[in-house]
Amino acid sequence: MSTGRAPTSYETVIGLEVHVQLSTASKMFCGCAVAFGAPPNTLTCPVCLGLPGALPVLNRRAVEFGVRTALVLGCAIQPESRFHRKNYYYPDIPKNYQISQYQYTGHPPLATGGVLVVETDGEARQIGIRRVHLEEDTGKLVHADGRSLVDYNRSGTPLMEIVSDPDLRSAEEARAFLTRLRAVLQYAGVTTGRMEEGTLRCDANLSLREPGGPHGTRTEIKNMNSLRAVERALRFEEARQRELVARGESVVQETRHWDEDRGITFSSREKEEAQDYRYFPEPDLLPVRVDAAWVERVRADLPELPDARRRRYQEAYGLPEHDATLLTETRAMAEFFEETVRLFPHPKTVSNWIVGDVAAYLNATGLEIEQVPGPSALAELLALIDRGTLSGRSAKEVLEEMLRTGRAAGEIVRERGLVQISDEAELVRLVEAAIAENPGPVSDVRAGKDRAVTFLVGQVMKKSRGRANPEIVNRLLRDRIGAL
Amino acid sequence: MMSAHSVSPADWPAWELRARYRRGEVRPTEVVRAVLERIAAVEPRIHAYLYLDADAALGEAARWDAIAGRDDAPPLAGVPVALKDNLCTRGVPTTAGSRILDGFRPPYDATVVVRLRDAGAVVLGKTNCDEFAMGSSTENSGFGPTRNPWDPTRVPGGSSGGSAAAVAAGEATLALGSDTGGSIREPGAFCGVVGLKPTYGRVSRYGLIAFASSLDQIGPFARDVRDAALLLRQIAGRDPADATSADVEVPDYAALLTGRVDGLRLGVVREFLGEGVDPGVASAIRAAIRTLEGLGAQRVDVSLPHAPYALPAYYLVAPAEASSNLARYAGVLCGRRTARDGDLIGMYARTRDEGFGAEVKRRIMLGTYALSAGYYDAFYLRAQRVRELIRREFEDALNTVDVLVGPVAPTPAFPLGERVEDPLQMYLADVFTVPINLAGLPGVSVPCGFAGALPVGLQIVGRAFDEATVLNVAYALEQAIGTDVCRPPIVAETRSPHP
Amino acid sequence: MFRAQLGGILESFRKLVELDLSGIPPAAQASPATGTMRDDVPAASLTRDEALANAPAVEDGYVVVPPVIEEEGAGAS
Repeated sequence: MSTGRAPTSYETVIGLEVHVQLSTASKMFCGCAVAFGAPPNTLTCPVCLGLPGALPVLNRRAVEFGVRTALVLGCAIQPESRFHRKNYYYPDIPKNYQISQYQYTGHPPLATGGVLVVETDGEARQIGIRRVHLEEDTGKLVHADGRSLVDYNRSGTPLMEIVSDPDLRSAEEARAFLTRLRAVLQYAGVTTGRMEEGTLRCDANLSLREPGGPHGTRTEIKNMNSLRAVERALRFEEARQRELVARGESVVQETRHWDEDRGITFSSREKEEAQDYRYFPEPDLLPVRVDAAWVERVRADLPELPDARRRRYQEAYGLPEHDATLLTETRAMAEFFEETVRLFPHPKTVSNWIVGDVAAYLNATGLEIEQVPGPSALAELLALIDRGTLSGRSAKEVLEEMLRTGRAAGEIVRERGLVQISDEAELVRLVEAAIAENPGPVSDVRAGKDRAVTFLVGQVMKKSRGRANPEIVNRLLRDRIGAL
Repeated sequence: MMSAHSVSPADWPAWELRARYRRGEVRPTEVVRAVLERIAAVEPRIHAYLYLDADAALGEAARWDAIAGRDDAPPLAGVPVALKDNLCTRGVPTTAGSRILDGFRPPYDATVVVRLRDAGAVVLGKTNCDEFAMGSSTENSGFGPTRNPWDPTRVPGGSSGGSAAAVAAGEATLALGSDTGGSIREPGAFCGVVGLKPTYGRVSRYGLIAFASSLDQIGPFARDVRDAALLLRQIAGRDPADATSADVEVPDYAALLTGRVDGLRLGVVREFLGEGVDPGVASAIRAAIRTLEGLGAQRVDVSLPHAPYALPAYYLVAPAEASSNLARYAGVLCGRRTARDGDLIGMYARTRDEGFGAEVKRRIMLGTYALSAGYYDAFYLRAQRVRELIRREFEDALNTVDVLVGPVAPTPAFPLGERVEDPLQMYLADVFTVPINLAGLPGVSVPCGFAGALPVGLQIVGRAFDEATVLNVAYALEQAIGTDVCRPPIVAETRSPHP
Repeated sequence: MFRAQLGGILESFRKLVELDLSGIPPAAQASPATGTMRDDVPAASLTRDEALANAPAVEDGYVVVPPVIEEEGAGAS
């Protein structure tokens, strides 16, 4: 890292362009199913293959999802917007034009002028949403030796593009924006929003600016495939530009690709001049009309959003804000919590386990909540603890194995012989044995040194290989010693 | 009313075929056989067809033999039809007159094709056309021109020259064409047959290989107006697969043909009868107007002062949309590919350079220019505003009259090769038809007389979705002058005994 | 060659510049149809064979094209 006179007074200006694959059943302009992992070119038709004579017809649900998104982002929804053709040649775009929505004076796209509140380091800032519009996705290009292979299954999948104002001021804030946006969109039910699967993609624009001065030259950064990559890439690019400016060099307006392995952005070999896409209104489609009545119906059907849900957890379940926030970070997590509570109606306990051990496991393994055994498994485990069949300590081990293997908690407990001993008769024997073997600590207890009880409990636990019910052991020890 | 000279079933109109089927006088296979014989006799000179499957057509006809005569038979059962080769036909070669689509067999049928098959029509084959429907003479076809049955040294018109010639020569009873700037009406006029361009949105474009999306419409060719009405009814109507197809009721057009025009206000467009119109054409048109007046129509002189701006506006809008519609022909998913080792861009460029003809290339260049950054406002956008101006002007005029009339083209059919090297001259053939496409209105060409030995067509233009009135005025004229105008000499020649 | 041929038509475009188009918007839509949209119900796709039947070069169910030189990045941008 250069230690030159980097002008730290310069502020970083970042704007994000996010593409989101909508969770519709069928494609944007045809009835082919939207599905993942199908064998290549098995989900196509004349329309999404761009065969001669085929025509697009708009998917109403995609528009509804666009309206939902506009509502949750506080955008103004255009009663009438048009589609346009973006003309360029590439093998993954069969018509050699993409149907999208362009924005120019007097012709706004589906929605404009929203806001997303983003928190970093406890400070909340409002980030402007410049526009939301609809378009179709391209097919997938696979590069092989001496040739490229194209699969058109994805061609025509509904995409929504969300563009932020250049209001973001740091790589960290950009990541927070993306995280929050993703949660909000998942909550709205419009997308699964997984960057690793490509249902959420992000490009960024970054420039430096002297406070109060004009915008500097910006670069476009592509190929960031995870939240972490977004933050790393922008941090690198910011530093790279600062270094250039410090050396008195100018930033070149260009597109740069993020290389995850090398940790750098590099200039892509694309043409420097902006490509002329020769936009014009799509003559095969009529203007999209969204009237006030439709907007109201969509508004009424909106799922509960993260903030409302968080507040509800705090109020109804008495959960602390920190825990409630973690539980509502994603819709999947919140639904996992609620379903577990439905099966095991002790919200605070459930919350503690999810926010604690379950979250720890997810962080360590990099898995998502949807990828581990579901609420009924956790509820079963918690019920075992509650009945006294399993001690809290053993439970942690069982949880880990349960999450990892998917086997039922009860099965694991039986197999490992972890059933907690709560039978008093049996425990009494162990207690009396511990008392007999540890006269010193026993005297300490009788002398009032409470810590010795803990030691003795530990001895009993050791004898029982962790299976003794610690609360009962504690009580029995005190009784027995007291009776001595 | 029976048609005269009804010696060969190949010359009978569809309505007469239907009547004879019902009376058990003839069967579809006999009719198709007669048409195939006619084709064999005249095709070497006319070249109307690019693809013909005689066995399939006879097989199809056989399937209708038992049914065509029943009362519950579908409206076009057993009627032989030809389809312009820019209409997608499942499993059957479809080239749009271009070498770049040589070998292309669509995996689906155009909606109009489905509707025709459902109506019982027997598809004979695909007819020749200017490449991607761009042209006014069918000389731009990548597979050689079609010749005019009235005079094989002359063009049949274009771009739907094959369909028009086929119907004129009895090589099909009915045919479908497409019209973007005059491509049904002009060949209809040149070949002496009825050709109708419906209101934009009247007929589904799904499966029509696109030229200019906001202008293209599919329409019928027939030897008389009643047939055209029958065919239109079968193909018109909303299609969920075409978002631009209108949800307007489809009347029984044939049933509405009364032939009565008393009190009808006939708008004669001043700008359409000025200089530049061949005297023979002008004379035939004036005679037709007098005939209609004689039937009770009221002549009103109207002016469409912005009509002269239609041609330049059209030659900005249409090529612009075409340049985008034709971008997909690049050797990736269908059609020809010129490979050779090399990069992707090279493949795109070589494939298109070798696959497209000169006129298509000209229009793609023009269209790309009209849309390019910095020129979009001055060209494409401006042209679209001129278009709106013209549309309003037509709308206002049609508030004062019921239909507008004038010539279809300034000249009758011109000789092959005369205009190929002079695109501007070629474009002028569309000067009277193009404004109607820009306005989106229905227009028909109905044979109204001759200029020398060549047919002349009267253009009748109506209000949006008022094909009924347009057809009725055409019908009135036709009934007054008779349908003998529709028999080219080549047909008589085929009936004379061979030496 | 094209320039000479197109020159004439380009000349005619000058005529359009003469016109006073104040107050005239571009033709909005060519047909009076309104609000045609599809329900979000999946329909049958073509079989792979049908879809690729006309492709000049196919391999293992993919369409083959000459190698693409630059990375455009996953999906639309």
